[in-house]
Amino acid sequence: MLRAGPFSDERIVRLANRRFVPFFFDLDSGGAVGDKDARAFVVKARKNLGGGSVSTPPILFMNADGEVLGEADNYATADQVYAAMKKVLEKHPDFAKESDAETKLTGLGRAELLVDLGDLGGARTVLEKETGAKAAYALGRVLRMQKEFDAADKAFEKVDDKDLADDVVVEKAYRHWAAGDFEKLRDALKDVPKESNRWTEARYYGGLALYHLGEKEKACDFWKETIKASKQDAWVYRTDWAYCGVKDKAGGSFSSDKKGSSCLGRIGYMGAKNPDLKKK
Amino acid sequence: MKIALLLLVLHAQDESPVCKDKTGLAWTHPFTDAQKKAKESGRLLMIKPIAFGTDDAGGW
Repeated sequence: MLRAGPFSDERIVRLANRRFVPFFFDLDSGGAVGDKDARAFVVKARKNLGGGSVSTPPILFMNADGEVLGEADNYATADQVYAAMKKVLEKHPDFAKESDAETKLTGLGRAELLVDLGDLGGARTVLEKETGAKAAYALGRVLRMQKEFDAADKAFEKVDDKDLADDVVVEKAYRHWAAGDFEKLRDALKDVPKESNRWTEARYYGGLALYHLGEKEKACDFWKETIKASKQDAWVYRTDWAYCGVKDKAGGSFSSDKKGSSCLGRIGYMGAKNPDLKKK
Repeated sequence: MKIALLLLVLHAQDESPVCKDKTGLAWTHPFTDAQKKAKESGRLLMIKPIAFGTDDAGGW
């Protein structure tokens, strides 16, 4: 669930890669990603994780000396995990300092850093002074993240780079998702080509449009086809999570161990239902 | 021979459950490397221990 939810959330991925050293391991040293050194390090700080049978461990934010400075529950939402990450950095600013390379960044590079750190207002200020298609696209994207859709569309009008055409289509479609206008969402995304780097994202939202228009089986078929036709990425994980959520009649939470419930053949507890399936 | 060894190494990397994770998170493995990186870069470790097992398909 973490992989399909919080760990596939763009804000979390950006902040984690910029300000943390992400690491996962199997507490069972014999598992595929078992790591004896990691186990000893973590169990020293959290004795309860050293037993033979433990409850699902949280995400731990630790310094290299082995102190736990923060944590987020395994079943936390993306917003909760993101808040925990921001909180631990605010409480321990020494770990949030800019690197020498970061202090030298200007223009688009500086804006990218600010987006990674969640400072959308700062990124916007930088980008408003920049010119060119890439800067216009980046500004539109930031404005879209801030849900200022009219201003975002104005910025996208200045993007005259063919290579960014699909990106603009997908970015512009977000206003329909936010407004719950699912017919417009479906129509806006239907022509994003498979070769596009935004195809799995477009298909995810295209499926959600069908789902919210009441065509649940069609949505599942659409998502299944997407998963079958793509290499795995964050959107494919999220698509599988949505698919499982629709197929699971009980709702709420469930185990994907049920035969055929996960297109990706995922095993284990999938956690809460994908929040994008909630009625908007 | 060198090419064969290189291909073997690359293939082994492809088979790693860590490589198979496509969330976009830049995982650092093994732990000793992650700890070293955290120390040198002045960053915090973000650690997810997994309790129910992992398999070579990258499942967790």
